[in-house]
Amino acid sequence: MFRKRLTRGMTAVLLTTAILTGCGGQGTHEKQDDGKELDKITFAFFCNVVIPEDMDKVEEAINEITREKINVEVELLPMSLSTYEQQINLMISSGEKLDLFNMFGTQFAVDVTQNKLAAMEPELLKTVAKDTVETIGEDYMKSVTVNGNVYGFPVLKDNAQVRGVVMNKRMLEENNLLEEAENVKSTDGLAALYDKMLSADPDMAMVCAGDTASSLVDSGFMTYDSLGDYLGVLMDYGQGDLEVENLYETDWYESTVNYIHDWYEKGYILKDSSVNPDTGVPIYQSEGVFSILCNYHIATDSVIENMTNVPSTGTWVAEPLATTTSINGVVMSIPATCENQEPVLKFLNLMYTDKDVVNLIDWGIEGEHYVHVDGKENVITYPEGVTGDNSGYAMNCGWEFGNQLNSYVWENTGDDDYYERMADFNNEAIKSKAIGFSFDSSSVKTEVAALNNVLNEYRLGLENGEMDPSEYLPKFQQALKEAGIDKVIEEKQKQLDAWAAEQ
Amino acid sequence: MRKKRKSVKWKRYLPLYFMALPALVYLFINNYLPMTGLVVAFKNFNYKDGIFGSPWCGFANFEYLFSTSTSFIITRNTIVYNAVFIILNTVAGVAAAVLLNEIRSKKAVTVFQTTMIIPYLLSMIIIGYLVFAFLSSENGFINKHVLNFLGVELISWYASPKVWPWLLIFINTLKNFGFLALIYYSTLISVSNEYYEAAKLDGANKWQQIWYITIPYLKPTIITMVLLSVGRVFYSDFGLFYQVPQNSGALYSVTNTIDTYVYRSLIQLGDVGMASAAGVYQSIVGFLLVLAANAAVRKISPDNAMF
Repeated sequence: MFRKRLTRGMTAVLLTTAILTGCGGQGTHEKQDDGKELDKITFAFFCNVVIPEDMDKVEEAINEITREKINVEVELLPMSLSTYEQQINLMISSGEKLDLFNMFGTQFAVDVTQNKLAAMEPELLKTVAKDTVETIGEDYMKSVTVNGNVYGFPVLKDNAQVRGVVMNKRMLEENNLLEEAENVKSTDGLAALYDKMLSADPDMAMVCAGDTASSLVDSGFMTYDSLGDYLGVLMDYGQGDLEVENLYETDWYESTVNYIHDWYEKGYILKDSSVNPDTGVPIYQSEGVFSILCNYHIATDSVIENMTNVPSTGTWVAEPLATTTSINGVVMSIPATCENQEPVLKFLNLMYTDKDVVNLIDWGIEGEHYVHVDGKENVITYPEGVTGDNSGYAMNCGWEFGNQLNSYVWENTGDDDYYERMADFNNEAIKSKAIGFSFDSSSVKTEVAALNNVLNEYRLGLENGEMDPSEYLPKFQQALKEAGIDKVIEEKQKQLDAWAAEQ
Repeated sequence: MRKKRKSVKWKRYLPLYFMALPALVYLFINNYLPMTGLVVAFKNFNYKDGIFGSPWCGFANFEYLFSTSTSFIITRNTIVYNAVFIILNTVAGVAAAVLLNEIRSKKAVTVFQTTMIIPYLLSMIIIGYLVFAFLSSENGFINKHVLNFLGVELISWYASPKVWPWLLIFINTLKNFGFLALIYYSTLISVSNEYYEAAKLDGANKWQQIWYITIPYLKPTIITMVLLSVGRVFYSDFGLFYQVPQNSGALYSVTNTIDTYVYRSLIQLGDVGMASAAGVYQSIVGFLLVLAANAAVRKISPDNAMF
């Protein structure tokens, strides 16, 4: 008995020492039992709110697979979203060990111009990451390729987007409008529905945008490729002849903001939605608004229903569109300070091709954090006695890791074929002609900085219907001119032409 | 001879310097070392070459601060608001401290102090929510209960720039005067009661006691506090100007300050050089203003100048 305890104690001491030396980061190699050298990599990513308790367990489970298959050990470095970007910037600029990190695609173009990212070695892309490059596909690889160099992999998930609406099912049923609502195909159809709903309950707000940072145009009307920053866009789903236009001077824009202002006047739109800190899901959850317009994919209504417990139904009000921005929703990149890309790409390759690895990091350990629903191959749920509140790994961030299409589906979100349908959705979307183009704004950054201020001042107010277009649209256009939008568009057109000539 | 005396003096103060050492080291590491980072403002920063290796770009990073007519608005807003804040906070703080000083009941003083300091401890985000609860168009307290009750036409507060200067000044004073009052009050506690008794014997009334005893005693503290805030005239309370008006575009003419402008310009762009440029601009102007204010104080009342 005593001996057993002693051995246990000794093991504990030895393990601690091993961990401590590991943390010391003396070298990236460590001998495994059988004498093989183990490559160690550090992988940073963001968590929605809190970092799950059982992260260590999941890390160990992942390492069991990676040690076996690719001889790599991964240190997972989850960080809270609120300070994520600053922490990553600090880690890279101070040369701290970091080999792989996730970022939102909106950062991608800027990070490339600031040399934050390493170009992936072409030789390795052809060898160790060959399967991944094939899985992602030529079209999508274009969107992470700048001047012939690959700077990351886009996470495979809903890589196209469509404008859609999520509506409160209970309210529809009360007014016997459910069937009509499910057949809405356009914003005009939506307006007719709002009209009927409003006559039943004149005090109810009908609609607001999906979150505080986006407008009704972003979430319900947009049919252009924003080319990343809305300063110079491709109209008409990016299907024309690559002519960069000033969105805010187009007839389309003028008629759209007038249309929305008309909605506002009719009382459809939630008052103060541009300034209300709860605009979007929180207000929808408290049933303060009948519907929200938002970025949609195949089952956004179920996703929102799971999130809010409000019975919901939804529909599209435009055509699905794939752009560089939508494909690069989240990008997994290697920072410029990474010393050895080979183990990183090997690990990335598992993230895109190995079902076990992606499910581990998405959902945790089977039996402990999730179980399969009876009779379903891909649908999972909480084990008995576990809920979202007490689960050690309720991270729910599948959308930021490798190939989500390879992962399991949470109960109530979809069925066994959920991700097959998602893949179809991605494939069938209209593809903007500028997929793969990212704008390098460094030569016009003074103008872009001033323009961002102008956008902030007018965009939400106009696009949520609060500002009267006849008064504010001319002011907006004038302010954009003064801040130098023409110069930015000219530069963008130049880069786009050069890019197109290369293709 | 002189040299010797100097070294004796130095030796005598050695323990004091030694005691100050940790603080000096801290000051050096925390406040002086980072100043080398100022070079970033003049560089086209990229992560591969780092802070010192990135190419120089002259004043290009500063251009966006001055490129449009907004530059005038943000500079004006920042300076005028801060000037008003400094005056009002000082007046309100001193007044509150003097009143506190007149209260004899210890319990009452504690109650008042605590009440006054609570707003200072609230986060601007919470204050933003509180303000929204009052001013939201549909469910706000003012529109729903007050204006409705009075039968006055409802106001869309977040689209009415005229109200906001007053509102922001009110919120800022409410939030900050308690803290200043506490500082002034702690100075007053040390004033001996004998002065007041002597003044009373000479027939001075309450006003005269305040004017000729309390205020002169407070003068050095007031000057120090004002000089400190003058140094920050080019900075603005980001929470007050961004969170409280809920980033409402219609209010930019009266709520856009240098800090909010920089934030909105660079949140997408993420340019380290341009962000530092704004910081350099603000701190240099602030530094010059402190020098100027101190020179003015030295001229008027040399005893009270800081240096």
